[in-house]
Amino acid sequence: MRKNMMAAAAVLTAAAVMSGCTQSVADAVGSGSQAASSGAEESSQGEGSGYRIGIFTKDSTTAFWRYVVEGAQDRAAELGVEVVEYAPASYTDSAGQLSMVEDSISAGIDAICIAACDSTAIVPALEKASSAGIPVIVFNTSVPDFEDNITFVGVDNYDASYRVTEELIKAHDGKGKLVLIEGDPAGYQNIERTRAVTDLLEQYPEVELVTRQPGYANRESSMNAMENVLQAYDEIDMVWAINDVAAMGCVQAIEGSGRTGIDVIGIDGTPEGATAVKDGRLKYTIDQGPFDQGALSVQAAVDYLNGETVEDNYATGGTIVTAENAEAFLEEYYPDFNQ
Amino acid sequence: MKGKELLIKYSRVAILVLIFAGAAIISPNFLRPSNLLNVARQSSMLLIMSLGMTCAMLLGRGVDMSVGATLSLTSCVAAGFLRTNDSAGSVIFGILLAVALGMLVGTVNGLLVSFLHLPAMLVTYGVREIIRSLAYFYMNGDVVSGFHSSVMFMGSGFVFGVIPTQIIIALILTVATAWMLKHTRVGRELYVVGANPSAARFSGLKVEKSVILGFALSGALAALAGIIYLGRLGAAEAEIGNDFHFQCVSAVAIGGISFAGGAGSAWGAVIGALILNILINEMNLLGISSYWQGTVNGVIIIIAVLLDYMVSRKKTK
Amino acid sequence: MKQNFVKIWKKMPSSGAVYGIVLFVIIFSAAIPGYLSLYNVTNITRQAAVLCFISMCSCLAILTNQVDLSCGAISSLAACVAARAMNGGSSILVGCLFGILAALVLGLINGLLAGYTPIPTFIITLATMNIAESLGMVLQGGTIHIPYAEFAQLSEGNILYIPVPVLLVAVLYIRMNYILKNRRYGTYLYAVGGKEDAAWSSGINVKKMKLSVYLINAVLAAFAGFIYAARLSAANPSQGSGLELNGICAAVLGGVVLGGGRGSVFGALLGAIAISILRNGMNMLGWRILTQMMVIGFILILILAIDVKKKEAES
Repeated sequence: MRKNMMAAAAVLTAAAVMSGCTQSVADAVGSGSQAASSGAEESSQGEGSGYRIGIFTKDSTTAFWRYVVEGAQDRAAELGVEVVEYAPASYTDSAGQLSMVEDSISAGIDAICIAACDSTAIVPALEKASSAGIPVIVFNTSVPDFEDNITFVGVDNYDASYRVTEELIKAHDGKGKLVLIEGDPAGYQNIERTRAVTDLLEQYPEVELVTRQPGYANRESSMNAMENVLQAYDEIDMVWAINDVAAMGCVQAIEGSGRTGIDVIGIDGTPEGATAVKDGRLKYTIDQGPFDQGALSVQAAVDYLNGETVEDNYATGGTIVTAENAEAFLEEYYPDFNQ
Repeated sequence: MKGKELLIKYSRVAILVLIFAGAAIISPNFLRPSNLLNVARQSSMLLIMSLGMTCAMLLGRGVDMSVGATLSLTSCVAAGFLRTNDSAGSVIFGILLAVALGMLVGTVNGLLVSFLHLPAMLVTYGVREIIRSLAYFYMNGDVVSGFHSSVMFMGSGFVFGVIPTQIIIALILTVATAWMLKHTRVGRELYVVGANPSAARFSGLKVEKSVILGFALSGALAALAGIIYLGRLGAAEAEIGNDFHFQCVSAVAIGGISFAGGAGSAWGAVIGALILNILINEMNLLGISSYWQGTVNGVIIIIAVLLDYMVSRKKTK
Repeated sequence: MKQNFVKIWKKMPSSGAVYGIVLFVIIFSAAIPGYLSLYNVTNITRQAAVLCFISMCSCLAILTNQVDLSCGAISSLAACVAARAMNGGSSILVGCLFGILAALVLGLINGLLAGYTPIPTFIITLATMNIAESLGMVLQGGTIHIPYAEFAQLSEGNILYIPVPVLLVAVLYIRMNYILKNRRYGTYLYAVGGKEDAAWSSGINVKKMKLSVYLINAVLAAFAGFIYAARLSAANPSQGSGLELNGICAAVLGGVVLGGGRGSVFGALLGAIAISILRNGMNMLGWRILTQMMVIGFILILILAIDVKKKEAES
């Protein structure tokens, strides 16, 4: 029995160590094959000098962030620098992200590009980075209380939400009943995106806000929230969802209920959303340009480290995806997406 | 023990009836057929997973914390075979693959609990972390959507145009599980191993085999719930099912399972899942914020288990 | 040969945490340049503080053969109540008092049910965990920001160059260890966990002891919540989710034996530190969170196996 125990312990330790090692190797070689080639390019290009740029995304599992990282890695390969990915398991783990920022500083990261899980909580960590002389690039979600960031890369959340929502309202002739399925009510991105809706509601008095429910920006919860709303309200014309994933949850709920005549919009311009627009299940979405967010962040970081000028703001995305342009959109940005 | 078990079961049914009646009185809309079907539908997935949890908990070793992660991994792996344009054979293969994978995870759990004598709750938590990370690795952020019509039928379809398919599937599985637990040797062995493992061993039962089976069933049923979930969500993501284990444990606890093992039933899982969802439904009808659901859940669990305690105290007097 | 092995095995410190810490530090300092810097060490201490408090909760519960699944949620609730109070005009101190009060209410529920009914503590604390998280969400559906900048000092500040969390943890553990080893309360605690019937017979009020554990845990959880919130300058109702299981892992890693009656609080502390060192090291290595999850899963199973083996070796 004891021998079994020892054997089990040995096997488990070996497995643990191996899984960690294989991941390190995989990170260095596999999906980031650009990293390996970037090593080779280092010696030939001379610029970039093997900087290590940290890309901090909100979570490690959503498709959107994967495109951001891909964009970052592509640009890093061109520039001869290395991208180190940091992401908590879920966007609610702002403490985890904070620890990652701190730990990356200890590990000697050269630049930090961050999409903050919580725009207030992350400030102390970013200030530590600044004091350590590490340039901070904020992307995707702004951190208004931190003023030392080199630049902001991404869409203005208010703006994007405003434009796509106005498009929806206009498509309904400026009137109708609107349901809001928002994300985490206290999240900065959520506040900005929903603020656009409330402003629009003032502009279009014949649009009535039926209810506002939290869907926490994930498919399951948004679907549940939408199902409850469908049960409670007989008349609904439009549904606003915080992002494409939430929107698809709402779409699924509506299709499951058999009700028709409800238009749903999302934000982010993910290929899943764009495909749904193409198929007529989703009315609109608006592109955030995840590849560009990753690429331009890395570019800005490297430019700064090389002493070149960096602009205050790099806008990405901005295309409203409609039934007419969805196919072209998919072909241009996500040709490999198979649905 | 049988008398006590019956009393517990009837007290549970009594709670269910009371809550049902209360909901009907407070909200007339509760009795609308569409609403009742909704409640039953929403209970279905929880019920299927709770059936599995029941099998695992009958063993008296502890709870299976890995069910949510198993659901996620198996549905993600199977998703590739269940696409819109896949053949019926591919769909069947996908479902079998999911169940096999679920049983595999369950078997690992069972092995760790039975042969290495590790405490189930913690060990399944460790397995859960591993399985969940495997699911994330496998999906790599992708979302797979667009499933075969049969899968969509299972998850969001209606039988005879009115009854959600999920309910039928859940009922079939419940009957099957109940029958297995009461009328097959392997099923009854689960109870014996839970109630008195040393006696079981003395009478020649292979205790380890039963433990492994119990957890394997938990994994298999989680996988089946996962397939239905695919049909319901219309998409496979690695994030789903994060907190399902707690919901399952709540449901089976309300349904009268004994944490020491040896007592509990498939119908207990039904009652537990129904009670939980009726309460949630009633809160929605009353417009009570969904934030209160956790409190109501917690309170009902305590009431249900307290009732157990008082009932068994009365019985021994 | 086997006998020698057993002799050596029995003499080794019963805490796997010590090995863990030594192993991790050696590996990480070799693999990571700049690992042993003062900056990193202070970071680790701040990151570990919350877990150290929660680990104490788990330790006390396990010592008495109980389990506390609610300490994570209670810590979130306490932080949210405090934050809400502060936003409503209370001072930091008053806000925290409200938070502790809220925690104690739940601790009381836990303790009364645990001590005075035979309901398994797993189920009790599972229920109160749901309730605590739910109440936190009812209070405010998401993150509540803390209006006082000074509050962050609880986690980020220094007193005489020592990080505040280090001082708090040190005070807690030294005091607790003293009570457990030298005071009657401590003796009773171990007795209740070790052999409950014997404890009954020797006249110990087992019910009160069990109740007291949950009340203490509530206060500890509240402090954990405050430190966590201080780190982010914000409180969130789900911030503590998962902490309780980490706490149990830490305690078991530190040699607190499942089943009660054996183990020291310093073991729990070492366990918490070991886990925090591991997390920090993996972050610095740039390992993805998914890999980290897998590693932690394996290590947990390993710890449990060692724990069981230890128990078997001693029987």
